[in-house]
Amino acid sequence: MTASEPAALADLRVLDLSTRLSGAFCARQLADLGADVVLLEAPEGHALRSEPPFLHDEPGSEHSLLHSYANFNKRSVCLAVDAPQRQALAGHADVVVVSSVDALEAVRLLVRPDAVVVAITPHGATGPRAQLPGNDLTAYAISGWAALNGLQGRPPLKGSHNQVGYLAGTFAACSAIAALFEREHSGVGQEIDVSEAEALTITAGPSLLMSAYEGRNPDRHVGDIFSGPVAASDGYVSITFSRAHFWRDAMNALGLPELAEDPRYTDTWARRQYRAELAPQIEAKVAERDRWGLFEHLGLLRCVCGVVLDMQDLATNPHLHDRGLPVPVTLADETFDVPGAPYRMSHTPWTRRLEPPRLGEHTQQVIADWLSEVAE
Amino acid sequence: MTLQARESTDAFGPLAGIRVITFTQAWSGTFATELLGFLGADVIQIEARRRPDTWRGGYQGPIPPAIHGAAERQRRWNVGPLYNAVNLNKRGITLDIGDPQGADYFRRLVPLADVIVDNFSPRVMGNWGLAYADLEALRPGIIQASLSAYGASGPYRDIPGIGGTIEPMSGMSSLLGYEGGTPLNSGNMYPDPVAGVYMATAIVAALRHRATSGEGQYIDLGMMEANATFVGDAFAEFTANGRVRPRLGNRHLRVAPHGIYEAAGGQWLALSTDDESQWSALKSVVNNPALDAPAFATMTERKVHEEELDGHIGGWVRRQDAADAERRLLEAGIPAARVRLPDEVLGDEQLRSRDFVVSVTHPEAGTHEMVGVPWLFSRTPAKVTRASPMLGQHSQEVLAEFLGVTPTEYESLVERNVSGDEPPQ
Repeated sequence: MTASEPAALADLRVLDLSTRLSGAFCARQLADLGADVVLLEAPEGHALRSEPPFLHDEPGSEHSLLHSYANFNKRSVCLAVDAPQRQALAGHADVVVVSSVDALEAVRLLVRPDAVVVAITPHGATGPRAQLPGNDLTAYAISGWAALNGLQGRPPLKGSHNQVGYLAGTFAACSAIAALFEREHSGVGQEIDVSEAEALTITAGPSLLMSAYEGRNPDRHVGDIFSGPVAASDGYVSITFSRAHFWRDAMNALGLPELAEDPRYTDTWARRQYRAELAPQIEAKVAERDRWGLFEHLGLLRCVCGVVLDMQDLATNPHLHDRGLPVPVTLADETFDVPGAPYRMSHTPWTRRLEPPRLGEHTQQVIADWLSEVAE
Repeated sequence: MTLQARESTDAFGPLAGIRVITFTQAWSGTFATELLGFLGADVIQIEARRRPDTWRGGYQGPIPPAIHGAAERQRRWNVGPLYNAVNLNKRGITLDIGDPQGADYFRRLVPLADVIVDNFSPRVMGNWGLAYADLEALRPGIIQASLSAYGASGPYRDIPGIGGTIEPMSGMSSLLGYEGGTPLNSGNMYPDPVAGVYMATAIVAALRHRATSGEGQYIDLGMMEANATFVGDAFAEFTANGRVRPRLGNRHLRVAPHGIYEAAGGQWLALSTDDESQWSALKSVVNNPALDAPAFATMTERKVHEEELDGHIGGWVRRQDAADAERRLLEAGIPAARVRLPDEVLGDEQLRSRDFVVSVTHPEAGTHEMVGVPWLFSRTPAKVTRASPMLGQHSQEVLAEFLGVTPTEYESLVERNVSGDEPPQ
């Protein structure tokens, strides 16, 4: 960050007491917007330091790629659980992030009246399951997501690895910044209680109301025409037909003009009843084409088509590089890219300022910065 | 300028007094503005009669069967479940910005707005003379947020996309699916709310910056890159280790057991043991000596022998009632949950105890329980206050309140299809 670029949260101190991905990712988003975020760790290190994948598959507290991604832009302080500075740091924070009901109850006694305390827990900090265990997997079961996903005749399917942590962490960051905005005129802080299961359940909301309006549970994973991406000659593409011209133009582009013009298929809701006869005809045409050729051809017609990108495709994608999405981080002296800015703000840009911290790398520095009266 | 909503006694939430005017449609952008509404902003959503929100499902089509007859008058475009699921807390107006008169009314609304949001293709707002500089001239300090498939720059900027195409383009689909199976898209358009919650976050951050500096700004969000940040660890696994992560099904990189197992009566149970104490607890509940084998002694061993382990766990779950097993496992400290079908989700005791489930009455669709607000604020609660608006439901109200439009003037706008609450004549 250059001096000419202000940051939306530059004047704020955040104490990250998280023990889960959700909290760590929430705090990192505050750091990305310029807050001084201190990751307070115990001598065994933050929980994410023990999570794979590891650099070159070698476990170790400085090798977790998940840690490197969720904790860059933060400073690390390592203190024993009974160190008095732990409590003092809590009293100097504008925002405190915790991952358990017990931590919420403990930190509540230590923070300033104008502090925003964000608790992100599996089930939320109240209610009959507040103190019971939960994780990504159970959130998928509770939310209806697993029942809506996967293929007919196969087990219900969860989303991809770590989604609930990323999602709940982003919801929490949004609410924390809203509370900081409100604090600008009230001068008072508050607590925010975020449930990982609720964050995921929101994303099933349209499907839940649809089943209420239809009076039945939907068949699992049946889309407009296809149940998922379709095989092209060199990979997979997704094509959807949610507007009338998408269907007409896409069928013409694929060499299926008779389908393009058939009035039975014009309306999406009407077309669905012909799914079984339409899908094989379209699949056969898609299979003859290469995936990027289809993307460009349909894109020029302003139809919607997406190429299934695996992680190599994604990390090397020219559009994302043009947009500046990949940013370098350095872990154990090795530098590699991770995804950076999820959005671009013209005046207060998202920034990657600090490398993922080594355990306790900034203990003395932070104690001097935050607790100078204690240190001197 | 008098901003009536700022003085309303109905104000609530951390964004009380903020006004958002939005062109968002479908889900991603509209989710962002719904979240701002949950936080207490006064959200005015603009549609055009000739181009209603695609999530209304069009002007034709059947009334969904379970709500048929729920109200005396039911118009198809007002009873679309997708639209009605994601536009809570908004006032809906129609105003055709493509019409010079409609554009003039919009320009008169801009000075009353704190935030303008759209999810058009990047060139659309500029073509209407509504680029950031234009809006800022009308309202210094305004925040403009534009959400598009690929963002406002870069080689794909003019290519359209929606959740169903962003899921593959962001790497998500390559990671979603059964082990050894084909890539899948989520059945519920997951990339839309991911982009939407990020957009809401950026807007709130911009509001906070404006509160401390007086400066507005322009936000450009591309759904592809927003969603790509949710596969960050898999991305790093390629850039650091050169490995392309395969689809994991219901499995985990570190933890075993970790799966969704079939229970008695065709039900399903999700369960995992994330650490050694949970594993010990599970062994006590399952009570099978085979689990004491050295092959299952550590997490590393259990992960190596996961197929065999899943055979034992699956065999036990198959004999259990899923709800009863969930209760016993949770009591023993083990993460577990019965897989809920969509019509069971909102009956959950935990979700209900937190008022996450809300009952919403819609004038044409009737009363339904819905998912509500994903945050409990202790001092300035976010909440659900309005059903999703019918097409143009608040056109006359909003135009009168903000611009002093008279009933006669409004009727002339309706006659010209610039505003109104019906399909264009």
